[in-house]
Amino acid sequence: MRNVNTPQNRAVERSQLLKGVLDLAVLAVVAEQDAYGYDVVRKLRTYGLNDVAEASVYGTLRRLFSTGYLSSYVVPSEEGPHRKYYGMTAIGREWLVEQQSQWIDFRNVIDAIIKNDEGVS
Amino acid sequence: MSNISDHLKVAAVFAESVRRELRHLPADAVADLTDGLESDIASSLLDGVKLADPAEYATDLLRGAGLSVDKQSTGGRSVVSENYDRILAAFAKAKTFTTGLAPAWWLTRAWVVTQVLGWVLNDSDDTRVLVGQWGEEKILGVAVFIAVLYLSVVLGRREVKKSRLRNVITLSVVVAGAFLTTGQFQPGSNQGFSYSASPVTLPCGLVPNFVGLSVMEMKNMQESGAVSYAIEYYDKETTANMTQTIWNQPATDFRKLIVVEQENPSQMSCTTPVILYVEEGAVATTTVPVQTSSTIASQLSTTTSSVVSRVVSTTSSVAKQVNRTTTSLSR
Repeated sequence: MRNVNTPQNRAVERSQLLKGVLDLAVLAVVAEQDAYGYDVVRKLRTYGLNDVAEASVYGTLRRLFSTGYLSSYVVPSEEGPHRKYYGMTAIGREWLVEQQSQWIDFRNVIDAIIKNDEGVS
Repeated sequence: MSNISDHLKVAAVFAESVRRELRHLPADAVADLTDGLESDIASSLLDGVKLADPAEYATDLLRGAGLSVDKQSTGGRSVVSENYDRILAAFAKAKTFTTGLAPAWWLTRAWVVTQVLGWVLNDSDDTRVLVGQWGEEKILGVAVFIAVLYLSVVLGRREVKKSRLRNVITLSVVVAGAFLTTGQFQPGSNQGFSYSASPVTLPCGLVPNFVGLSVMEMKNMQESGAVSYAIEYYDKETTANMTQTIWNQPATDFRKLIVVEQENPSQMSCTTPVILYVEEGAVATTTVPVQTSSTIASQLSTTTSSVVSRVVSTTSSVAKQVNRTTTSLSR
Protein backbone atom coordinates (compact mmCIF):
# COMPACT_ATOMS: atom_id res chain seq x y z
CA MET A 1 0.00 0.00 0.00
CA ARG A 2 1.31 3.46 -0.91
CA ASN A 3 2.50 5.57 2.01
CA VAL A 4 0.50 8.79 1.93
CA ASN A 5 1.90 10.14 5.18
CA THR A 6 5.07 11.60 3.65
CA PRO A 7 6.39 15.07 4.58
CA GLN A 8 5.53 16.26 1.05
CA ASN A 9 1.95 15.08 1.35
CA ARG A 10 1.61 16.66 4.77
CA ALA A 11 2.92 19.95 3.37
CA VAL A 12 0.38 19.80 0.53
CA GLU A 13 -2.44 19.05 2.99
CA ARG A 14 -1.38 21.94 5.22
CA SER A 15 -1.23 24.30 2.25
CA GLN A 16 -4.73 23.22 1.23
CA LEU A 17 -5.99 23.93 4.74
CA LEU A 18 -4.16 27.24 4.78
CA LYS A 19 -5.69 28.42 1.53
CA GLY A 20 -9.10 28.82 3.12
CA VAL A 21 -7.89 30.83 6.07
CA LEU A 22 -4.89 32.79 4.75
CA ASP A 23 -7.00 35.92 4.27
CA LEU A 24 -8.11 35.73 7.88
CA ALA A 25 -4.57 35.08 9.16
CA VAL A 26 -3.08 37.94 7.14
CA LEU A 27 -5.79 40.37 8.22
CA ALA A 28 -5.36 39.37 11.86
CA VAL A 29 -1.62 40.02 11.67
CA VAL A 30 -2.07 43.43 10.03
CA ALA A 31 -4.79 44.27 12.59
CA GLU A 32 -2.17 43.95 15.34
CA GLN A 33 0.10 46.52 13.71
CA ASP A 34 0.71 47.99 10.26
CA ALA A 35 3.21 45.83 8.41
CA TYR A 36 5.04 45.42 5.11
CA GLY A 37 4.92 42.22 3.08
CA TYR A 38 7.80 40.29 4.55
CA ASP A 39 6.90 41.53 8.03
CA VAL A 40 3.57 39.74 7.66
CA VAL A 41 5.32 36.58 6.46
CA ARG A 42 7.71 36.69 9.41
CA LYS A 43 4.86 37.06 11.93
CA LEU A 44 2.89 34.22 10.35
CA ARG A 45 5.98 32.01 10.64
CA THR A 46 6.44 33.07 14.25
CA TYR A 47 2.94 31.78 14.93
CA GLY A 48 3.88 28.43 13.37
CA LEU A 49 2.88 28.77 9.71
CA ASN A 50 6.40 27.93 8.60
CA ASP A 51 5.51 26.64 5.17
CA VAL A 52 3.51 29.66 4.04
CA ALA A 53 4.80 30.84 0.64
CA GLU A 54 6.03 34.42 0.72
CA ALA A 55 4.61 35.29 -2.67
CA SER A 56 1.19 33.92 -1.70
CA VAL A 57 1.13 36.33 1.22
CA TYR A 58 2.17 39.25 -0.98
CA GLY A 59 -0.54 38.38 -3.49
CA THR A 60 -3.07 38.07 -0.69
CA LEU A 61 -2.10 41.50 0.63
CA ARG A 62 -2.62 43.01 -2.84
CA ARG A 63 -6.02 41.36 -3.14
CA LEU A 64 -7.15 42.45 0.31
CA PHE A 65 -6.00 45.96 -0.57
CA SER A 66 -7.93 45.94 -3.85
CA THR A 67 -11.08 44.75 -2.08
CA GLY A 68 -10.79 47.64 0.34
CA TYR A 69 -10.00 45.68 3.53
CA LEU A 70 -6.48 47.08 3.69
CA SER A 71 -4.95 50.46 3.00
CA SER A 72 -1.36 50.91 1.92
CA TYR A 73 1.33 53.54 2.06
CA VAL A 74 4.92 53.76 0.99
CA VAL A 75 7.77 54.42 3.39
CA PRO A 76 10.98 55.54 1.65
CA SER A 77 14.19 53.91 2.73
CA GLU A 78 17.64 55.48 2.70
CA GLU A 79 19.27 52.10 2.32
CA GLY A 80 17.38 50.97 -0.75
CA PRO A 81 13.95 50.58 -2.30
CA HIS A 82 10.86 51.80 -0.52
CA ARG A 83 8.71 49.59 1.68
CA LYS A 84 5.01 49.19 1.06
CA TYR A 85 3.14 49.06 4.34
CA TYR A 86 -0.40 47.80 4.83
CA GLY A 87 -2.90 48.89 7.46
CA MET A 88 -6.49 47.99 8.28
CA THR A 89 -9.47 49.94 6.99
CA ALA A 90 -12.76 50.22 8.88
CA ILE A 91 -14.44 47.83 6.48
CA GLY A 92 -11.49 45.46 6.89
CA ARG A 93 -11.92 45.42 10.67
CA GLU A 94 -15.64 44.66 10.30
CA TRP A 95 -14.88 41.83 7.92
CA LEU A 96 -12.19 40.48 10.26
CA VAL A 97 -14.61 40.35 13.19
CA GLU A 98 -17.14 38.53 11.03
CA GLN A 99 -14.53 36.07 9.77
CA GLN A 100 -13.23 35.42 13.28
CA SER A 101 -16.72 34.55 14.39
CA GLN A 102 -17.25 32.24 11.42
CA TRP A 103 -13.91 30.56 12.01
CA ILE A 104 -14.67 29.88 15.67
CA ASP A 105 -18.04 28.34 14.74
CA PHE A 106 -16.40 26.27 12.03
CA ARG A 107 -13.56 25.18 14.31
CA ASN A 108 -16.03 24.10 17.02
CA VAL A 109 -17.93 21.99 14.50
CA ILE A 110 -14.75 20.33 13.23
CA ASP A 111 -13.48 19.82 16.79
CA ALA A 112 -16.72 18.12 17.72
CA ILE A 113 -16.51 15.85 14.67
CA ILE A 114 -12.88 14.96 15.31
CA LYS A 115 -13.48 14.22 19.00
CA ASN A 116 -16.47 12.06 18.15
CA ASP A 117 -14.36 10.23 15.56
CA GLU A 118 -11.60 9.65 18.15
CA GLY A 119 -14.21 8.12 20.49
CA VAL A 120 -15.39 5.73 17.79
CA SER A 121 -11.91 4.52 16.93
CA MET B 1 26.06 37.56 0.95
CA SER B 2 27.54 39.85 3.49
CA ASN B 3 25.66 43.13 3.54
CA ILE B 4 22.44 44.90 2.71
CA SER B 5 23.84 46.22 -0.56
CA ASP B 6 24.51 42.69 -1.83
CA HIS B 7 21.04 41.59 -0.77
CA LEU B 8 19.49 44.55 -2.54
CA LYS B 9 21.31 43.70 -5.75
CA VAL B 10 20.15 40.10 -5.63
CA ALA B 11 16.64 41.22 -4.71
CA ALA B 12 16.54 43.65 -7.65
CA VAL B 13 17.61 40.97 -10.11
CA PHE B 14 15.15 38.45 -8.69
CA ALA B 15 12.28 40.97 -8.73
CA GLU B 16 13.02 41.68 -12.38
CA SER B 17 12.92 37.96 -13.15
CA VAL B 18 9.52 37.75 -11.45
CA ARG B 19 8.29 40.75 -13.48
CA ARG B 20 9.42 39.00 -16.66
CA GLU B 21 7.34 35.99 -15.64
CA LEU B 22 4.37 38.34 -15.34
CA ARG B 23 4.90 40.14 -18.63
CA HIS B 24 1.72 38.68 -20.11
CA LEU B 25 -0.19 40.96 -17.74
CA PRO B 26 -0.87 44.66 -18.37
CA ALA B 27 1.99 46.86 -17.14
CA ASP B 28 -0.11 48.49 -14.42
CA ALA B 29 -1.13 45.10 -13.04
CA VAL B 30 2.52 44.02 -12.90
CA ALA B 31 3.45 47.29 -11.23
CA ASP B 32 0.69 46.83 -8.68
CA LEU B 33 1.63 43.23 -7.94
CA THR B 34 5.33 43.85 -7.57
CA ASP B 35 5.45 47.26 -5.94
CA GLY B 36 7.77 47.05 -2.94
CA LEU B 37 8.87 43.54 -3.88
CA GLU B 38 12.58 44.37 -3.82
CA SER B 39 12.53 45.43 -0.18
CA ASP B 40 10.48 42.37 0.84
CA ILE B 41 12.86 40.02 -0.98
CA ALA B 42 15.89 41.78 0.49
CA SER B 43 14.42 41.36 3.98
CA SER B 44 13.84 37.66 3.44
CA LEU B 45 17.41 37.29 2.18
CA LEU B 46 18.64 38.98 5.35
CA ASP B 47 16.74 36.31 7.30
CA GLY B 48 18.60 33.64 5.33
CA VAL B 49 15.61 32.57 3.24
CA LYS B 50 16.57 30.98 -0.07
CA LEU B 51 14.96 32.38 -3.17
CA ALA B 52 12.46 30.25 -5.03
CA ASP B 53 12.22 29.79 -8.77
CA PRO B 54 10.97 33.11 -10.24
CA ALA B 55 8.29 31.34 -12.28
CA GLU B 56 6.99 29.52 -9.21
CA TYR B 57 7.17 32.74 -7.22
CA ALA B 58 5.16 34.58 -9.88
CA THR B 59 2.55 31.81 -9.86
CA ASP B 60 2.19 32.05 -6.07
CA LEU B 61 1.88 35.81 -6.38
CA LEU B 62 -0.90 35.47 -8.95
CA ARG B 63 -2.75 32.80 -6.98
CA GLY B 64 -2.52 34.86 -3.80
CA ALA B 65 -3.88 37.87 -5.65
CA GLY B 66 -6.74 35.78 -7.02
CA LEU B 67 -5.59 36.18 -10.63
CA SER B 68 -5.48 33.52 -13.28
CA VAL B 69 -2.12 31.81 -13.70
CA ASP B 70 -3.00 30.97 -17.32
CA LYS B 71 -0.73 33.16 -19.41
CA GLN B 72 -3.07 33.00 -22.40
CA SER B 73 -6.09 34.36 -20.59
CA THR B 74 -4.78 37.21 -18.49
CA GLY B 75 -5.27 39.94 -21.06
CA GLY B 76 -3.34 43.18 -21.37
CA ARG B 77 -0.25 42.66 -23.44
CA SER B 78 -1.57 39.21 -24.24
CA VAL B 79 -1.75 37.42 -27.52
CA VAL B 80 -1.80 40.41 -29.88
CA SER B 81 1.35 41.92 -28.44
CA GLU B 82 3.17 38.60 -28.26
CA ASN B 83 2.21 37.81 -31.86
CA TYR B 84 3.49 41.22 -32.89
CA ASP B 85 6.83 40.44 -31.23
CA ARG B 86 6.92 37.08 -33.01
CA ILE B 87 6.24 38.72 -36.38
CA LEU B 88 9.02 41.26 -35.77
CA ALA B 89 11.42 38.48 -34.82
CA ALA B 90 10.47 36.39 -37.87
CA PHE B 91 10.86 39.43 -40.12
CA ALA B 92 14.30 40.18 -38.69
CA LYS B 93 15.29 36.54 -39.16
CA ALA B 94 14.06 36.50 -42.74
CA LYS B 95 15.85 39.75 -43.47
CA THR B 96 19.11 38.40 -42.09
CA PHE B 97 18.68 35.26 -44.17
CA THR B 98 17.96 37.11 -47.40
CA THR B 99 20.80 39.55 -46.76
CA GLY B 100 23.09 36.57 -46.41
CA LEU B 101 21.93 35.31 -49.80
CA ALA B 102 22.87 38.55 -51.59
CA PRO B 103 26.35 37.41 -52.80
CA ALA B 104 24.77 34.26 -54.27
CA TRP B 105 22.30 36.46 -56.12
CA TRP B 106 25.13 38.71 -57.45
CA LEU B 107 26.96 35.64 -58.75
CA THR B 108 23.87 34.13 -60.33
CA ARG B 109 22.84 37.27 -62.17
CA ALA B 110 26.42 37.74 -63.46
CA TRP B 111 26.39 34.22 -64.81
CA VAL B 112 22.97 34.66 -66.45
CA VAL B 113 23.99 37.99 -68.05
CA THR B 114 27.20 36.40 -69.37
CA GLN B 115 25.23 33.54 -70.93
CA VAL B 116 22.66 35.88 -72.46
CA LEU B 117 25.46 38.06 -73.92
CA GLY B 118 27.08 34.95 -75.36
CA TRP B 119 23.80 33.89 -76.91
CA VAL B 120 23.25 37.36 -78.44
CA LEU B 121 26.82 37.95 -79.67
CA ASN B 122 27.45 34.48 -81.09
CA ASP B 123 25.58 32.63 -83.74
CA SER B 124 22.39 31.36 -82.35
CA ASP B 125 22.36 27.65 -81.92
CA ASP B 126 19.06 26.25 -80.75
CA THR B 127 20.58 22.87 -80.02
CA ARG B 128 22.72 24.30 -77.24
CA VAL B 129 21.28 25.05 -73.87
CA LEU B 130 22.00 28.39 -72.27
CA VAL B 131 25.07 27.05 -70.48
CA GLY B 132 28.16 27.52 -72.60
CA GLN B 133 26.73 30.09 -75.00
CA TRP B 134 30.24 31.38 -75.73
CA GLY B 135 30.99 28.19 -77.66
CA GLU B 136 34.59 28.01 -78.78
CA GLU B 137 35.41 31.41 -77.27
CA LYS B 138 35.49 30.12 -73.75
CA ILE B 139 38.36 32.36 -72.60
CA LEU B 140 36.49 35.42 -73.81
CA GLY B 141 33.39 34.09 -72.03
CA VAL B 142 35.33 33.77 -68.77
CA ALA B 143 36.70 37.33 -69.16
CA VAL B 144 33.22 38.69 -69.81
CA PHE B 145 31.89 36.74 -66.83
CA ILE B 146 34.57 38.25 -64.53
CA ALA B 147 33.77 41.75 -65.78
CA VAL B 148 30.02 41.27 -65.35
CA LEU B 149 30.55 39.73 -61.93
CA TYR B 150 32.58 42.78 -60.88
CA LEU B 151 29.76 45.09 -62.04
CA SER B 152 27.18 42.91 -60.32
CA VAL B 153 29.05 43.07 -56.99
CA VAL B 154 29.55 46.84 -57.22
CA LEU B 155 25.87 47.30 -58.02
CA GLY B 156 24.87 44.96 -55.19
CA ARG B 157 26.97 46.83 -52.64
CA ARG B 158 25.43 50.10 -53.70
CA GLU B 159 22.00 48.61 -53.15
CA VAL B 160 23.00 47.47 -49.66
CA LYS B 161 24.41 50.89 -48.84
CA LYS B 162 21.28 52.59 -50.11
CA SER B 163 19.16 50.20 -48.11
CA ARG B 164 21.13 50.82 -44.91
CA LEU B 165 21.12 54.55 -45.42
CA ARG B 166 17.41 54.46 -46.15
CA ASN B 167 16.81 52.54 -42.91
CA VAL B 168 18.88 55.00 -40.90
CA ILE B 169 17.16 58.01 -42.43
CA THR B 170 13.74 56.50 -41.81
CA LEU B 171 14.58 55.71 -38.21
CA SER B 172 16.08 59.14 -37.63
CA VAL B 173 12.97 60.85 -38.97
CA VAL B 174 10.73 58.64 -36.87
CA VAL B 175 12.70 59.19 -33.66
CA ALA B 176 13.09 62.92 -34.22
CA GLY B 177 9.40 63.10 -35.09
CA ALA B 178 8.53 61.24 -31.90
CA PHE B 179 10.22 63.93 -29.83
CA LEU B 180 9.05 66.84 -31.92
CA THR B 181 5.38 65.86 -31.87
CA THR B 182 5.01 65.57 -28.12
CA GLY B 183 3.53 69.03 -27.93
CA GLN B 184 6.88 70.72 -27.52
CA PHE B 185 6.86 71.65 -31.23
CA GLN B 186 4.03 72.12 -33.66
CA PRO B 187 3.95 71.67 -37.41
CA GLY B 188 4.56 74.93 -39.17
CA SER B 189 5.94 76.76 -36.16
CA ASN B 190 8.96 78.94 -36.73
CA GLN B 191 11.45 76.66 -35.05
CA GLY B 192 13.36 75.82 -38.21
CA PHE B 193 12.38 72.16 -38.04
CA SER B 194 10.39 70.21 -40.54
CA TYR B 195 9.17 66.71 -39.96
CA SER B 196 6.54 64.24 -40.93
CA ALA B 197 3.22 64.59 -39.13
CA SER B 198 2.51 60.89 -39.54
CA PRO B 199 1.99 58.74 -36.43
CA VAL B 200 5.29 58.30 -34.63
CA THR B 201 4.56 56.27 -31.54
CA LEU B 202 6.28 53.00 -32.26
CA PRO B 203 7.01 50.09 -29.98
CA CYS B 204 10.70 50.49 -30.57
CA GLY B 205 13.16 53.10 -31.74
CA LEU B 206 16.66 54.46 -31.85
CA VAL B 207 17.67 55.35 -28.31
CA PRO B 208 19.23 58.78 -27.82
CA ASN B 209 21.67 59.50 -25.01
CA PHE B 210 19.65 60.61 -21.98
CA VAL B 211 22.61 61.22 -19.67
CA GLY B 212 22.30 64.59 -17.96
CA LEU B 213 18.52 64.74 -18.03
CA SER B 214 16.58 64.69 -14.79
CA VAL B 215 14.20 61.86 -14.04
CA MET B 216 11.42 64.45 -13.99
CA GLU B 217 12.16 65.25 -17.64
CA MET B 218 12.37 61.59 -18.52
CA LYS B 219 9.07 60.85 -16.84
CA ASN B 220 7.39 63.76 -18.62
CA MET B 221 8.62 62.41 -21.95
CA GLN B 222 7.41 58.91 -21.15
CA GLU B 223 4.00 60.13 -20.04
CA SER B 224 3.63 62.26 -23.15
CA GLY B 225 4.45 59.26 -25.35
CA ALA B 226 7.65 60.75 -26.75
CA VAL B 227 9.57 57.75 -25.45
CA SER B 228 7.54 54.71 -26.21
CA TYR B 229 10.03 51.99 -25.35
CA ALA B 230 10.44 50.62 -21.85
CA ILE B 231 12.84 52.40 -19.54
CA GLU B 232 14.13 51.07 -16.27
CA TYR B 233 15.74 53.26 -13.65
CA TYR B 234 18.38 52.01 -11.26
CA ASP B 235 20.06 53.76 -8.37
CA LYS B 236 23.64 54.31 -9.47
CA GLU B 237 24.99 53.63 -6.00
CA THR B 238 22.88 50.71 -4.79
CA THR B 239 21.72 49.45 -8.22
CA ALA B 240 18.25 49.15 -6.71
CA ASN B 241 15.50 49.22 -9.28
CA MET B 242 13.63 52.50 -8.89
CA THR B 243 11.25 52.12 -11.80
CA GLN B 244 8.16 51.47 -9.71
CA THR B 245 8.97 54.21 -7.22
CA ILE B 246 9.38 56.70 -10.02
CA TRP B 247 6.11 55.71 -11.64
CA ASN B 248 4.19 55.85 -8.40
CA GLN B 249 5.26 59.36 -7.44
CA PRO B 250 4.80 62.73 -9.19
CA ALA B 251 7.44 63.71 -11.74
CA THR B 252 8.28 66.85 -9.81
CA ASP B 253 9.60 64.71 -6.93
CA PHE B 254 12.53 63.73 -9.11
CA ARG B 255 14.00 67.07 -10.14
CA LYS B 256 17.20 66.31 -8.29
CA LEU B 257 17.54 62.80 -9.63
CA ILE B 258 19.78 62.90 -12.69
CA VAL B 259 20.55 60.25 -15.30
CA VAL B 260 24.29 59.69 -14.92
CA GLU B 261 24.78 56.54 -16.96
CA GLN B 262 22.99 54.73 -19.73
CA GLU B 263 23.37 51.30 -21.21
CA ASN B 264 23.34 51.05 -24.99
CA PRO B 265 22.67 54.60 -26.21
CA SER B 266 22.34 54.88 -30.00
CA GLN B 267 21.01 51.32 -30.18
CA MET B 268 17.69 49.99 -31.31
CA SER B 269 15.30 49.17 -28.51
CA CYS B 270 12.32 46.95 -29.27
CA THR B 271 11.83 44.41 -26.55
CA THR B 272 14.82 45.16 -24.34
CA PRO B 273 14.28 47.99 -21.87
CA VAL B 274 16.64 50.95 -21.82
CA ILE B 275 18.63 50.90 -18.58
CA LEU B 276 19.33 54.25 -16.91
CA TYR B 277 21.36 54.78 -13.76
CA VAL B 278 20.39 57.77 -11.68
CA GLU B 279 21.73 59.66 -8.70
CA GLU B 280 21.07 62.86 -6.82
CA GLY B 281 22.48 65.91 -8.59
CA ALA B 282 21.85 69.59 -9.10
CA VAL B 283 18.24 70.72 -9.31
CA ALA B 284 17.00 70.54 -12.88
CA THR B 285 16.06 73.96 -14.12
CA THR B 286 13.75 72.82 -16.86
CA THR B 287 10.02 73.10 -16.71
CA VAL B 288 7.27 70.92 -18.00
CA PRO B 289 6.48 72.15 -21.52
CA VAL B 290 3.08 73.71 -22.01
CA GLN B 291 1.33 72.08 -24.91
CA THR B 292 -0.45 74.99 -26.54
CA SER B 293 0.47 76.12 -30.00
CA SER B 294 0.29 79.81 -29.12
CA THR B 295 3.01 79.52 -26.51
CA ILE B 296 5.29 77.11 -28.31
CA ALA B 297 7.86 79.67 -29.41
CA SER B 298 8.23 81.31 -26.02
CA GLN B 299 8.19 78.10 -24.05
CA LEU B 300 10.81 76.22 -25.96
CA SER B 301 12.35 74.66 -22.90
CA THR B 302 15.80 73.44 -22.12
CA THR B 303 14.31 69.98 -21.98
CA THR B 304 13.26 70.16 -25.59
CA SER B 305 16.57 71.58 -26.69
CA SER B 306 18.61 69.01 -24.87
CA VAL B 307 16.49 66.12 -26.06
CA VAL B 308 16.48 67.33 -29.65
CA SER B 309 20.20 67.96 -29.57
CA ARG B 310 20.69 64.45 -28.29
CA VAL B 311 18.49 63.04 -31.02
CA VAL B 312 20.36 65.03 -33.63
CA SER B 313 23.65 63.98 -32.08
CA THR B 314 22.57 60.35 -32.06
CA THR B 315 21.34 60.59 -35.62
CA SER B 316 24.52 62.19 -36.82
CA SER B 317 26.69 59.67 -34.98
CA VAL B 318 24.74 56.85 -36.56
CA ALA B 319 25.03 58.52 -39.96
CA LYS B 320 28.79 58.83 -39.43
CA GLN B 321 28.95 55.17 -38.52
CA VAL B 322 27.05 54.29 -41.68
CA ASN B 323 29.41 56.44 -43.71
CA ARG B 324 32.37 54.65 -42.22
CA THR B 325 30.76 51.31 -42.95
CA THR B 326 29.92 52.20 -46.52
CA THR B 327 33.42 53.60 -47.09
CA SER B 328 34.99 50.41 -45.83
CA LEU B 329 32.63 48.40 -48.05
CA SER B 330 33.62 50.42 -51.08
CA ARG B 331 37.29 49.67 -50.48
